[in-house]
Amino acid sequence: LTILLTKRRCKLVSHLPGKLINILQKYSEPLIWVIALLLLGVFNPQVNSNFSLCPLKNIGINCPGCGLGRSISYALHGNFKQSLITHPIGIPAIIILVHRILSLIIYHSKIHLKKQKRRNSHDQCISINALFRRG
Amino acid sequence: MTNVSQLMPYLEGDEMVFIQGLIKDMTEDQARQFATLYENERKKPQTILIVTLLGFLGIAGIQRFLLNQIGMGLLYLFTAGLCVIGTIIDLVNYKKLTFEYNSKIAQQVAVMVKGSN
Repeated sequence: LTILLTKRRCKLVSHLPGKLINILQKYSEPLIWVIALLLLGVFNPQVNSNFSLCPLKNIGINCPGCGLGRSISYALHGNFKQSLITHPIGIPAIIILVHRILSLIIYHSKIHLKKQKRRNSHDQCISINALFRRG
Repeated sequence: MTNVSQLMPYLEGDEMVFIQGLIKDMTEDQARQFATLYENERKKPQTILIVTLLGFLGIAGIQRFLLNQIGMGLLYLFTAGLCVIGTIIDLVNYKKLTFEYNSKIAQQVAVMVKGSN
């Protein structure tokens, strides 16, 4: 019995990382936006550094998106005036991103419900399919 | 009871499973009508991939417009694809983005086909 239990536990443990990776893959897009907004909300926009994530700016081209992160960060800290000065699209960007996150969550919850329903009728489907092929 | 692989052999993976679920309680005629309508309405993942690559040339966000996400499209267009980082994100999961759009379209088409007959 103990051997059985340990075996079952092993199975559970071995399934866990797979499930985690599955969830991460499924929700990768909303997760990216949520993490980005959280990081911008936590960090202080006034810290000046020459380090830039933007590949265009690092090459030397003037990038129209640069300053957007700082702008969003200012807006999330409540400093709307500074946000508008840094980049005018900052506040609309927050609204668009929140809308996108919400619509993705709604979409995934609907699809999940559909899959559960289908699983219930899946066995019938298979048997009927087999009959159809034989005929 | 109809089989997707006969009607729409170009489908693969998640999309095929999803469409099979939609089609399974349709009659033969309805399924055929669904197949023609859906083939016209759906977006191919390859086109989305190619259009996403345009983002590296300076015109970012067309993939979002094609997938009916106007807000995100505008945001990408005016910020050069969120400083190219957004374009790279879309490049990685272009298949998922297309499937999200296609599954919504498929549901609408299925409702239409069932309602008309």
